[in-house]
Amino acid sequence: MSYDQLMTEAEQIRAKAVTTQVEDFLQAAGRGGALAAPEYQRLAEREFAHVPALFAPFVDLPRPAAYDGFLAHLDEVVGILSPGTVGPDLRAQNSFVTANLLLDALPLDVTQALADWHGKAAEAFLTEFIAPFRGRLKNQFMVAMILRFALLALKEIWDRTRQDIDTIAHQTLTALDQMDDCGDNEWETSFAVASAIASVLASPLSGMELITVTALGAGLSVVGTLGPDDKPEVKIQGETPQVVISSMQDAITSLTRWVDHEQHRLVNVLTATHADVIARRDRYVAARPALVDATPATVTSDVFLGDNE
Amino acid sequence: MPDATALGADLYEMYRVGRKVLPDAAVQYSVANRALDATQDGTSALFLQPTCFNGDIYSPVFPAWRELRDELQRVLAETQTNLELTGDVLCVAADAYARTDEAAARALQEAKNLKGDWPPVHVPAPIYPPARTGQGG
Repeated sequence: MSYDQLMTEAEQIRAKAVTTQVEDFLQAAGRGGALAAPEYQRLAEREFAHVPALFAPFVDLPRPAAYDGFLAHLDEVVGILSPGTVGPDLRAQNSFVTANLLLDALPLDVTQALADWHGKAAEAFLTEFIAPFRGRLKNQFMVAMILRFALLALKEIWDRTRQDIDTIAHQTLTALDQMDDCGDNEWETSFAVASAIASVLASPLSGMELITVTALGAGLSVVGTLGPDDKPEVKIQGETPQVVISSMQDAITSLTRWVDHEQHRLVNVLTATHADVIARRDRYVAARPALVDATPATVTSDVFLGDNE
Repeated sequence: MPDATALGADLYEMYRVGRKVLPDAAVQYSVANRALDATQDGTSALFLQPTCFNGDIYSPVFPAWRELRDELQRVLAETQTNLELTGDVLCVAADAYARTDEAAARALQEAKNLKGDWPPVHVPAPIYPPARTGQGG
């Protein structure tokens, strides 16, 4: 069974809960219980009719593969803006992005070419546009990396949510199957989605540039989306079908909260980055150079390029 | 003032930066911008989610991601424009200086003949993000 058979599993859970509940009723009723079996069946059917609906919204989770085309476009953006960077794990494939040599060479080339022109706008162009060019290029690169990181993380969130909802279904079936066995009937694993962002941050070419952006450290922590009971664990337990199904429902609710939590962490990072680009725009893009306002009649004046010496 | 040969060499360097170096860089920004612009199509569909999350058909990441994407696109478009326009001015300037000094003009032409000249670099028009009308727009 897998995510693709989620609704089949949901129906199995419902049917198993009903069967188990009817068996429990019959056992409790003793020898006369058989006569009431149809009523027990009706009650149990009603009790667990909602189970498939709990899983139904998860059938339409976004497809992780749908992100790949967008990520390919962002890879191209990142490659052009790259100042050259290395991921945290050099053993991994694609653990570095080479620098764009054409843009990397531009500041030195232009500075040398225009060094002997001392008009006001020429000097301002060199000091305000050319000298910080590589710094701005790197900042632009980091914004592109953050956009890429957010998509990678969202892809990972949905991939792991698929795993988690499938785990919940599996563990519920196991718990229903083993209610009558000796010992604690408790099945527990971690929510994979709770570490989705951490896994992307640890992967090659995703995390290393982000840690250099101080705003992101605070941005990745977010409060208010999780309650005190929302531990990053799937825990299915109980000795009756009602209790097992109830713990399953709690796990599903907790899963949705974890998904919201992880998404809001991404929102914080994106919002903080956007706010920084707005507040300190000159770190990302230069103001229009005054040189641009020159005309053929004025360009040789001291206001623009001036004397050559 | 330097002699005409030295001035011609400096004008050639100015011309080279204006004619080739800055437009080539502008093209790089244009290509990056077009790749970023390719993420406009289908963005809203990419961020659709079941309403059991957050009660919304769109991921909360959607508006934040799109806002930053649009801002980066503006940054790339403005940088491209600055590079391209400055390149244009430097070509105009090299021509203007050459017109004021016949010997320097000759030196500039000789440098072009010797070191090379370039056809105009075609820089596509910069792309800006569309005006937004709503979450799915």
